[in-house]
This record gives sequence, C-alpha cells and structure tokens, in this order.
Amino acid sequence: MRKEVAVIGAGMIHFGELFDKSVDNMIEEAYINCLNSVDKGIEPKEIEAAWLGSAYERSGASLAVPTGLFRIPISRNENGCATGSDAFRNACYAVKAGIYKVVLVCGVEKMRDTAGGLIAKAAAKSGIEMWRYRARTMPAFFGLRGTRHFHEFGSNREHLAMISVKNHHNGSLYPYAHYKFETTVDQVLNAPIVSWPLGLYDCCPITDGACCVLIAHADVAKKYTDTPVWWQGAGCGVDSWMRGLDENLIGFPATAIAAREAYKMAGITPKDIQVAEVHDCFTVTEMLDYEDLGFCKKGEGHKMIEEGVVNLDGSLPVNPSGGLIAKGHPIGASGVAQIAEIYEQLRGTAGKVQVPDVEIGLQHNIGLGRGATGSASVVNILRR
Amino acid sequence: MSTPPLYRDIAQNLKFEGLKCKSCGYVAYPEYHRICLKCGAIDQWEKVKLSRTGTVHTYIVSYYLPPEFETPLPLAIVDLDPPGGRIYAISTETKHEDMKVGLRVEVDFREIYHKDGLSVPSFKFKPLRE
Repeated sequence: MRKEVAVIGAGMIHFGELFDKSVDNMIEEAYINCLNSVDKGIEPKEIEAAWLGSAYERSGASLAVPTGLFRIPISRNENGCATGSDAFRNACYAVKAGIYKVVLVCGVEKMRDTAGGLIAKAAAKSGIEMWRYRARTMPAFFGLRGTRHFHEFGSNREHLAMISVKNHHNGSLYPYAHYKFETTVDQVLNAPIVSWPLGLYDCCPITDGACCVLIAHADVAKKYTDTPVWWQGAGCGVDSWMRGLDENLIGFPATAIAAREAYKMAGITPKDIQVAEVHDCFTVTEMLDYEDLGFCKKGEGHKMIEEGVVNLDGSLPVNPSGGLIAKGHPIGASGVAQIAEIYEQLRGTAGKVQVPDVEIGLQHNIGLGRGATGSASVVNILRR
Repeated sequence: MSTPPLYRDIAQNLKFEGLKCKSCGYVAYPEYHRICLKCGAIDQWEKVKLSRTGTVHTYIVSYYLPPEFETPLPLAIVDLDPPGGRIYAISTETKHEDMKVGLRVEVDFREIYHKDGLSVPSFKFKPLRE
C-alpha cells in the first residue's frame, strides 16, 4: 500500500443553519477542533501551507485571518460542489511531491445568509445571456437523470425514497448532522414534490458548515499519531451533458473517470472499498454514484438499496454520516467533512455510525460546470 | 445586463440555427465554440437550420420556481429531429400527466417575462399535434 501522505487530524463542527456564526467563526471552531484532534499534539507553526475549499466567497489569503496562519502559502480551490474534495486532492499532491511536510485543508461555506439560500440565487434566473438554461434548478438537473434512469432500467421513486430513509437514519446517529430525524418510505413519497421525481426528502438541506483536516508527509506522520490514515490516490474528471452523449443523462461519466484514476493510483478495484462517503445532494445522485463508482453495473444502482447492500449494516455501507441529505451540504466544507468521516471510520472512532473493522474507504463529490451539473467529479481513497 | 453580450448572442437568439461538426456530426446549439465539444475538431463547422420538432429524451416537473414562472412546469431535454441537436426547454400548454419520455413535441422560442425593460426569452415546447 501507498504510504506517502497521511491524514493526522480532523475537526468538524455541527452543521446547520448557523445564523449566529460567521464564516470566520465556523473556521475558527473547525480549525481548533482539528488541532486538538491530533493524537500527539501539533503546534500551528508546524503547518507549512494550507488549501481553502470555498465555492463562493473567499480568497486563499482570507483563511489566514481566522487561523492566524500568516506568512505561509494559502491557495483557494474551487470546483463546484467538488470544491472541498478537490482542495484535499491538491493538498495531497503537494505533500506527495515533497514540497511541504504538514498541510491544512479547510472547507467552508455560508449558505444561509442570503434569502432563500445561496442556491436559489444561483440557479433559477440568471442574466439574459443565460436564457438557454432558463428555470434550471439543481433538483431539475439531477431529476432529469432520474427520469431517464427510471425509463431505461426500471428504477422508481420508491428506490430513491429508500436512500432517503437510509441516510436520514444514519444522520440521526451522527453527532454533527444538520437533520437528525428518521423518516419512512411513505413519508418520503408523500412529501411535497420539489421537482418530480424528487420530493422534499429527496433533497439535501441548505446548510452552513466548516471542516478542517491536517495531512502530513510519511517522514513526519508518526510524530503526530501512531494511527495515521494513508491517502492512497485521487482522481478528477470533467464532462458535460452538452456534449450530446446519452451516457451523460443516465449518470455522471465524470465520476467514472475520477474513480478509474483513483482506483488505478491506489492499486485497488471497487470491490476493495468497505465504506464510502459519496455525493448525495439528491437521492437520485447517490443511486447513480453506485454505478459510476463501480460498486455495481450501470443500470443496477437501485438494486444496491433494494438489497440493503449500502445500509449501515450492509456489506458496503454508503454515507454512514447521513450524507449530504442529512448531514447537510455546505459546498466547500462537504468534501472535507467526507474525508473527516472516512478518517474516523478507518481509525474506528466513528461512534454510533462506526462500520466494524474497515480498512479502505472512498470519498466522492460531484460539482457544477457550465450550464449543467455533474460536470466535475473528484474521488479520494484512504486506507489505514 | 449590458449590451455587448446581447450583441454577441444575437444570431443565436434570433435564428434557430446550429453548427454541425463535419468531423463527427455533433450539432452545436445554443452555444457555439470553435472546438467541437464532442470530438475536439477545430473549425470544422457548417451552418444548419434546426428542426422545430423533436422528442423528449428526459424530463422533470418543477413545482417550485421564482414567481415569473407558472408551476407545475414541465422541463425537458429535447432531441431535435434531423439535422439534430439537444436542447433544454421549458413547456407551455403541457400538464404533468402529459409528460413522458419519447413524447413528440414542437419547439419554439418565446418571451417568458420582462426584466429591466428587456424581453427575457426561452425555449418552449408543447406536445406535437400531428
């Protein structure tokens, strides 16, 4: 196995509608939690560089203010909703290259300060030059894949509801989740329709949050912990439905491309994955992820949930943290929080959502591109 | 909204005209680029007049939209008849229960509301009455 870059600490905050906390307040809390999480302790002066994942608001340099990390290089990374995982991926490359020994990755997003949330502002009616995608919304673009998947493969709204039930169950057990309630298939099916085939509980909430992780080069990792989690590889893929390919409307080829690269670098296959945190901005997204990540064949995603494979007690638990559906989706923070969760899972410190005895975990995000979603995808693989 | 982007897009906005890649057959519309999105060929385009009829490839029905839009509103990705092209369009005169994959539709380009004194247009489709 690859032992070059280690995750040595992770700090979460409770995700939610944090009207009483600014971006800086959220970063401070996640950063200090992260410093305190390092088994053998760490001094801020040991951090040599930082990457900030934020989709909407900040330069890299702005991270120095709430962390006090002045006079080190800090870059901001943005890649749609894959922002956090892409920031982590780039930070890992820098450590693998031997440029820095200890690096901070911080993801943050303030989603609820604007009326209706950041997404409502972004999606529905941008300037006249964008008439081409008039009345586009996030649930619309993901729902379009759902309808086509139903048509080609016989999946249906009940399958999506089962994913919602699973993720809400997991979220009810996860300490940092925005939504902590259980739901039933009937409740999900009978909830108000947002964008058919997606109802209210098929959609992730609009959530504020931040998360930090610390990574270290193999040369120094043992100075910080005896049980590091090793980064095995990453991939990134970019595509668009505008290219006219049918495969873009029954899944996300960008995810398949990112996954292939990550599996190859890690020297493993999808069968080796024992726990995964994947992008479930909507239930349908998670169903398509199963296929695009290679957990099953194309067109069989709905069978994974039908057979309970992806449940917390299944053979491949997906989104033990409740996923974006229950934990919340503060864009820049989402991917970093997924890394934090896989780190806890592989160290056996995931509490009530712990999957027994897992060694290899996968993290995955999908991001927005031009005129359509699902255009960018990032996968990271970790191993203890 | 400033004038230069309106000026740049005028051909696309007022003519239902696409560019067809001579190398792979991909029809670019509504965005034009020099490099083909599908095969990467450079400057291999010929102008084609797009068909006003097509088939619903997939759809959703939006129940929550800004007040300018009447809901529920079906939205679809429509495959235009030859010479081809794939567009994203909102519906008119179409109910949720009318929608299905494979529905034959006619596509038009219409104003949907006014903003800052300018007409805001969009693709609109409705079931084809053959």
